[in-house]
Amino acid sequence: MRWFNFTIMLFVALVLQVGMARLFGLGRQRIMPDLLLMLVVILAFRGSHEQAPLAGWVLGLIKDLSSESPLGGYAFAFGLTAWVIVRSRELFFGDNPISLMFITFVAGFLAEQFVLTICLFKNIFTGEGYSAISTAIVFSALLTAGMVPYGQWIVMRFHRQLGLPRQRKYGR
Amino acid sequence: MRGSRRELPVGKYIFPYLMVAALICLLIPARYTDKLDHLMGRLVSPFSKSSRFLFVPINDTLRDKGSGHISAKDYEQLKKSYLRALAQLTNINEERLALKKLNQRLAHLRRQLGPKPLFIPAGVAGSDTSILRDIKQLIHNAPNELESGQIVLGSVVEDSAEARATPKTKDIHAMAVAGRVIGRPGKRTAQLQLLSDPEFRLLVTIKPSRQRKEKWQSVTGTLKGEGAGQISIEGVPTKYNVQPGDVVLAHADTKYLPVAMIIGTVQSCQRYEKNPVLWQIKVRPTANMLTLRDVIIIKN
Repeated sequence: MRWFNFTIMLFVALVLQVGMARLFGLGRQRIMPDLLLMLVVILAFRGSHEQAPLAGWVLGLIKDLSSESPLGGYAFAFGLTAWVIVRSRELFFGDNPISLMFITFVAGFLAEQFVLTICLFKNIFTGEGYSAISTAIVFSALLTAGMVPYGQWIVMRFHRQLGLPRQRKYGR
Repeated sequence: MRGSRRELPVGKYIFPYLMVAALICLLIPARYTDKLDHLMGRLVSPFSKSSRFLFVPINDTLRDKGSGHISAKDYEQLKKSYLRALAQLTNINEERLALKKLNQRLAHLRRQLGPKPLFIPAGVAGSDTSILRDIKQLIHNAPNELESGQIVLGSVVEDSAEARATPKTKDIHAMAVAGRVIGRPGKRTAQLQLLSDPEFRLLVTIKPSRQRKEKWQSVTGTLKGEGAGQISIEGVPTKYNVQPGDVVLAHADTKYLPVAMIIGTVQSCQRYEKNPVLWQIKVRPTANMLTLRDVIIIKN
């Protein structure tokens, strides 16, 4: 991984997430895609065994810092997500965009539910709005999953700059 | 990674330690991690602020779509006119009622404030990256003037070229409560917690709409955000006949809000299943929460 270029990509994604995602969100709740999670899944799908989880953790930390969630929540969730995808990608996942979308949906839903649980545990939220927030999480995960093939296409345009392999081949 | 010459050989050794660090951050009380969060967040804030360059031009083109039998354009105009008139009527009436009482207090405040502004304009720079929270990033030009808890007013109608041409503080009657400042405001940035944020709580007063003749004049409740754009009021007994369309006002407060200001209207109300003597009230905010761009922070 070329970390300097990765940092540039990370901050571009952050600016888009903060400035545009909510504006182009769907419905009255402005359901928005999670660009940072999308990067986590794409890098875990394409990156190396050693560095993809690290990149996931960094992306999660940035999300922690740019949101009001408890520090460490997204870092742990995204790091774990990347680690699980890296460990299981050779066994389960083909190169089909459908599988990528499915992984993104599941990862998005579970990561947000994990952070929501932490928030409930830390008394940041009461349990009364749980159903409304969970519904928003489901639709956000669906939206992220729908956008991930396009995200992958864009990221792979820059595979050389990011130090990613052109083809999806995993070797130790 | 294949094809990469500069791989971090320590990557796989660092990762477990980082995950443990994240877990520790989660498990220890927030007061210990808040400072670290704030310090590290400053590294990210320049990039969050730059999102305003994207936010402003895109925001100008966005329109909230209407529904029903009338055309979307007519619906928009009617909605704008209605909300604007409602806000103006309510706020002017509230001011008229409170003016006599406030006169002395305002004079006293002016003496205390001197040349400092009473209304601090600020711009919305972007949103919180987490879908769990309804928080906006603000950019302001009043260092040392902001503090946590200050009430923020948002425009009732969508921003347009015509609206932007008029000075914002002159149009204060067409504004409604949109949220409050939270956290530790920086010299140029601050965080706006919207009404719908799950942590938002505010004492409010419900007044029956003018069309109805009611014995009760007002009733007090607690407004709380429920996330995902939902706002509710709790603690209102059912002996008060609250109905959709009734006006919801932020309670005047000597510290943050000198006069009661409109928040929105009652969207629906029904009895709590668990506690039938209390209303479960949903609120429709008057301020346009979806396309907030220029706001005013009240410094009392």
